Amino acid sequence: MELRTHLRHFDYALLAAVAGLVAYGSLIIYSATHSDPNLSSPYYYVKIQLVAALLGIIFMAVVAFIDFRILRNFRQHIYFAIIGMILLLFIVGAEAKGSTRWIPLGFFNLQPSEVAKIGMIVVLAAFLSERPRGELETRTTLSALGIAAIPVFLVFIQPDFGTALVLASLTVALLFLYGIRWLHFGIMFAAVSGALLMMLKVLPVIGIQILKPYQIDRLLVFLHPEHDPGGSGYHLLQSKIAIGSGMMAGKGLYQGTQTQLNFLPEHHTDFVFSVLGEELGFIGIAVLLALYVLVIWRGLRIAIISESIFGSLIAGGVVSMLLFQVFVNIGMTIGIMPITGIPLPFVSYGGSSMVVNLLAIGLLESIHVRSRLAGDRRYRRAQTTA
Amino acid sequence: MVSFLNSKPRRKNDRQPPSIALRVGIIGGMAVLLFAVLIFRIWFLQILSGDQYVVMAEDNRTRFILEEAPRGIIYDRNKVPLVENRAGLAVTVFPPALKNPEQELAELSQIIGVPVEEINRLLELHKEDTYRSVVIKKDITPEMKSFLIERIPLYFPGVDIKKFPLRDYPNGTEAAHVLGHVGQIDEQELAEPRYEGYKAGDEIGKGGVEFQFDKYLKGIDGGREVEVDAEGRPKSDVSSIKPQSGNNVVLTIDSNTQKATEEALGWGIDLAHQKKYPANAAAAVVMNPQTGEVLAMASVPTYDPKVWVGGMNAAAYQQLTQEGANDPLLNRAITGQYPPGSTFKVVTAIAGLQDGIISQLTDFICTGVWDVLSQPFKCWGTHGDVDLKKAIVMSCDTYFYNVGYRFYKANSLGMQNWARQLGLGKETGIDLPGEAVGRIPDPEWKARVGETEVDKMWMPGNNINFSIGQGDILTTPLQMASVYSTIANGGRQVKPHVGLRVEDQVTGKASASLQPEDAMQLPISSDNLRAIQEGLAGATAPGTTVGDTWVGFNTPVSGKTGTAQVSGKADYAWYVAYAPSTNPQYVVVVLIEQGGGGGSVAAPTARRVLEAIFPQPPATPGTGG
Repeated sequence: MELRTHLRHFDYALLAAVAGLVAYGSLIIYSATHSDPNLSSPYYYVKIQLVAALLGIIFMAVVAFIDFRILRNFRQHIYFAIIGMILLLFIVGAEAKGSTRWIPLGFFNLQPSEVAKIGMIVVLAAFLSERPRGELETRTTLSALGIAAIPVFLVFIQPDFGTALVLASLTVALLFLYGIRWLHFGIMFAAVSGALLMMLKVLPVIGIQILKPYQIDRLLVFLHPEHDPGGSGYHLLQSKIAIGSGMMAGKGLYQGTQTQLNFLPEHHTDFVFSVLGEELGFIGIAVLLALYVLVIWRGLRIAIISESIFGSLIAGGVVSMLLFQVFVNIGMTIGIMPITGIPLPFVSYGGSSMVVNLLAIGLLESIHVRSRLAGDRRYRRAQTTA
Repeated sequence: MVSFLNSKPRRKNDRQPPSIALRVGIIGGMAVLLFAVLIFRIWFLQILSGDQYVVMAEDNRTRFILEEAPRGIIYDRNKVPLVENRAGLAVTVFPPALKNPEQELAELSQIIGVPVEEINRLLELHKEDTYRSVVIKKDITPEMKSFLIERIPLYFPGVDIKKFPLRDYPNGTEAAHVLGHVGQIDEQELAEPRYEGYKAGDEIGKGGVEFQFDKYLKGIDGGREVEVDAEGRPKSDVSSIKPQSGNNVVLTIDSNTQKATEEALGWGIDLAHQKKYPANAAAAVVMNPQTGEVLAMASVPTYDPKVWVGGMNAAAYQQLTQEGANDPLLNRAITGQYPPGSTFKVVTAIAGLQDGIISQLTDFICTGVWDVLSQPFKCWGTHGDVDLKKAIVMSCDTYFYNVGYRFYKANSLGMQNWARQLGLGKETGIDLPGEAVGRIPDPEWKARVGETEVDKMWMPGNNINFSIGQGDILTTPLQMASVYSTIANGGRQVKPHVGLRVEDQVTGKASASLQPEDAMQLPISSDNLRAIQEGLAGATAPGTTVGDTWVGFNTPVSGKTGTAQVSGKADYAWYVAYAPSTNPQYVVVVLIEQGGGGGSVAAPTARRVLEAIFPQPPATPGTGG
């Protein structure tokens, strides 16, 4: 009975959209990597991606079937697990491109910063949902910021600037959904602007490097990509050439010269969107964006229909996280956002990101199922009274 | 903070307040806004600017690997190769493929020994041609090739090595001045109409025959358009065009005669040194007086054209052009200008006879000094009663002073006019670049260049000096070869030339003749010419100015010595000969700067040249005064 009811109350539009994104992403990853002569098999990356997706679906199913509300009881465990994982990273982590990102688990490279995204949504949602509104508002804001600050800082010094940004942005989104005072937003905005200015312009001049120079280069080069076609700007320029030359219908799957001849850097991870733009053109991009719109719409709908504020905050947080990542990743490939190394959800190659994002969808489904069950109960009550 | 996490739920009722729907709606609105921004930007990239990015993507993936066409081979008249090609290796740079240009070029510069400024200059020259690799160093060694090849994939993504045809000179320095050399076209040359259709990086002739016949020698470059990956590794050919070799050019030069002439000049300079003359430069021409075909043309000092192969380095160029090197790059046979001395007397004779100033029978008394004017003019000897033939045989100055003075008194510029008609004071029109015109001084010229009133006046002494080829007159050795050809061939003015024909490099068939148009007959009576020819034939006998130079030479030779005085320098030694005396086939001009007497130094040098043409029984030629 329980299982059948559960299945009946799933949001299948959301599931279909996510399945579409995963399939679409795998196809593009295959196109981007199948001709790599260093691979043992042309399916090497796609296989790993699909295995990760399978793992993610299992997590998603488990989470979808449990009552998300019990997560409130585990918020401390989750919080300290996140911090513990990131700290562990500094001890056993594997270096990649000047930063430490993975904990090698043998069969799987765990990326704690990815796990931190969904974990922090749950922790902050749990915390905020218990804070009374209209009382102790400043304290609530400061506490939430304090809770978020530790993992943001730890991720930042990995350094993984992109994920730190995602964590910071979803904190702001949750505070917004919770409904803190506008004044607090004003102060936060001013503080962040000031901090960025200090970090990028002022401190480097007096010799304090918070960001590594290559990070600053990557952050700022999108403003003048043509100035440095051999260095950081080179990636961006190649990405723009790839997307631009795709025109309306694209060059055809496996036909993108920028992709297949390796002019496009990291074409199955951070720049996977450029591959899509080159090979499937504007039409292919429109299909991808439509799938994201569907996911975001269903997620926001779940945030509204949720019976509990905890569920609303989680759903809103997940949607904000996905929206932020989609915008920053695509914006990076078309030159309107800094190059920060944020993956494209469900599409970029990367196991941790895939598993975590699917797990987040599982949470949305769980919230959806609970609110529909509550609806059922109300309906039955109404029936009995009548 | 932990206490916050631990804090007990203060809100018992978890039902959401209605305002959260509004806030979720605002997030939805932001999502719409952000997606709109993305869509607009992507529309701009793909639809509005797509064409431009398609071009950039094409430029990225295709590269044109130019295959330079080998230049034509230059042969002597007997098809002995004088300039050939060999397969060399060149280092090229493809600027768009450089990842970090400044650093990579600096490191490359260190390895191949080309200054960074030079590399940048070459790249700048090609900056509009973004599609092609730029050759920055030619003729690298196989060792350097293997050294670079190992490092290209890792350190020099835009660098490549390719085959490059290079000039080769099998006979070393032989005929260097005639052949010229090749080098990369420069910016000024690219702008000249002569080089329309040429492109930056092309090898062009920079002198001599290489320059003159560039349009025949230059082939049509081919190349391959290849698809490359980001590391610049070729993946597949898109298209290819085979290069077409340039056409071969056959010269009138005879390699054997050329060698003998160069060897003779060296010998002549040694001879001058033995006679305590500071001879340091010389020139010689061997020409067929009937056709104008130049069989040999030599200039000392010379240079090795090999130094230009693969690009001249600054040190070598400085060595060639520094003071004291005595301009080895100069082809003195056509650009050296000297007073002709007594070799000019035949021109005075022709002018006098043709203008009726003298007849063949006119005679003058030579007492060793001609003192009609206040200033006495000396003759080199005392010749008594001298007629035209004896005047030429003995090279009597007094006789020609008289002729010159008669022209002056007749207020006639006949000598100058005939000098010009015979081809002096202007280019002979030889098919070599850089020919000098020489100078035929006359009153108009003097009035123009004279600084003082007196300097501007044409004095009788000017005419007297001119009559024996002294004073302000200047001629090139080739001009004198041309004058004596006209005398030797019966009054026809032939155009000196070094080009014989152009041959297709593949079929070997003649595709064009380089022979000049027919010779022009000058209005000189054959009777007068015969008198001069007889004089020149007599002037090779013992007891004349050549002493016993020609004793034992079994082919009749006609000739004239010249010993030109140049202020501040030792005498310049001239000798002009033609042989055989009847129906002559060879004119030989020898000039040795500061070589002393024409008879004692230049004439024996000329004999050595003719000995190579007319084999002689072994005998040592004398060296008379």
